[in-house]
Amino acid sequence: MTPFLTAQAAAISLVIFGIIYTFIFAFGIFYIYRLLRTGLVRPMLKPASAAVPNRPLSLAGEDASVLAEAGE
Amino acid sequence: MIMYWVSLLAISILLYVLLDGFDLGIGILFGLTRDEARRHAMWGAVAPIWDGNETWLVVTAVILWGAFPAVYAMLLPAFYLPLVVMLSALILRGVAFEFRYKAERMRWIWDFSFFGGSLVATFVQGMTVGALVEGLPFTNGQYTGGDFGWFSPFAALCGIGLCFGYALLGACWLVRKCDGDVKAAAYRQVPYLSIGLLIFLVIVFSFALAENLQIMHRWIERPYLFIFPAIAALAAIVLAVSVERHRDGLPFYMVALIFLSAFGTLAISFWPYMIPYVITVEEAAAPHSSLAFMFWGEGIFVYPLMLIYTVISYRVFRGKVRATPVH
Repeated sequence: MTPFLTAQAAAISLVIFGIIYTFIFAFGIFYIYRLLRTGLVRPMLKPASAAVPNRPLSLAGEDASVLAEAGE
Repeated sequence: MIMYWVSLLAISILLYVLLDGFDLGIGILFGLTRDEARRHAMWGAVAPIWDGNETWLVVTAVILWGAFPAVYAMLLPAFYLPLVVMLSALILRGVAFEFRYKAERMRWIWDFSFFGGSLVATFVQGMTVGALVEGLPFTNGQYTGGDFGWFSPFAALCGIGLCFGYALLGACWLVRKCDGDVKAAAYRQVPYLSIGLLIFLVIVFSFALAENLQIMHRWIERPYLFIFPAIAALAAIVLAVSVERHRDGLPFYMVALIFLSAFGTLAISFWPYMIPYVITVEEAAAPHSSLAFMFWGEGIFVYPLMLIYTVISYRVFRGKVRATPVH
């Protein structure tokens, strides 16, 4: 036990952090839930033919054509 | 080596006060308006940079912890509860940045978190400085004032004063970054905030005289300290003129100069003490081997990198914020 820290001070800080994080996470979960329920609002982009997961940069040069294909 | 770390500490505190000062200040001003277009523009003026500004608070704490562990160990217990409250305020305020535009009916919660968080964090910071200036009870290097020993009317007064100070810094940032309504409103607020800050400074000064605080003797012993109030007075005059003539770029630098001179006043009137009249910089410093170890990593490599990063991010987001449609 830290010599100068009183049990009261430690308890108060624990309660404060408990309340704050419960509050934040409740809203965070709610917003993620709403995001999931809304679902996709537009069709997903089709990956370019040359793009493979282990070569993410291969996508970079093809932005324009991919976007055109997706109807953007 | 000790001087090197004292300098880094001073630079970090100063950067924190100036940078987070204006975004906390904008948080306070945010609560004073109901107009959504203005709120949106104020949000936009700090959104890209606010979290970078808070880096300097972390850096300050880390330098205290690593280079001046004695001071860290004395201050943390003394300000345990106010620090927890300040961190909670900063957390709520930070989350508000993420959640505000996700909320629809409940947006007022995040508006309130942003305003309240900024106000509380600012108040606690000012109060901490006030309590340090007034002096806290320490015996044998341990804080003995109890959980609420930091509270005093003087400390509370300093908290209120810093709210005016940060709000002034925030208003000048808005003048610099925004156009239209927001800028006009900020220009109108600057005189009131300046007068508020001035009244507060007069009250603190007379309070200090009445209480005959030790800091007053310092000033009589070291008359060269009056250079700082002189710089501040000069900056205040330029501030008034630049606001009068609507020079958008200047007011922020002038208020920054006022903060700089206030910081210089405090630092030099207490030198060589780190916690006034309790522990000096020499006594507080960690052993040479620790300071040297940190010097070769954090000191000479990471710290300059952070400075460069800060400069770059302000360059990227320089100029006026363009108006974007309200979500």
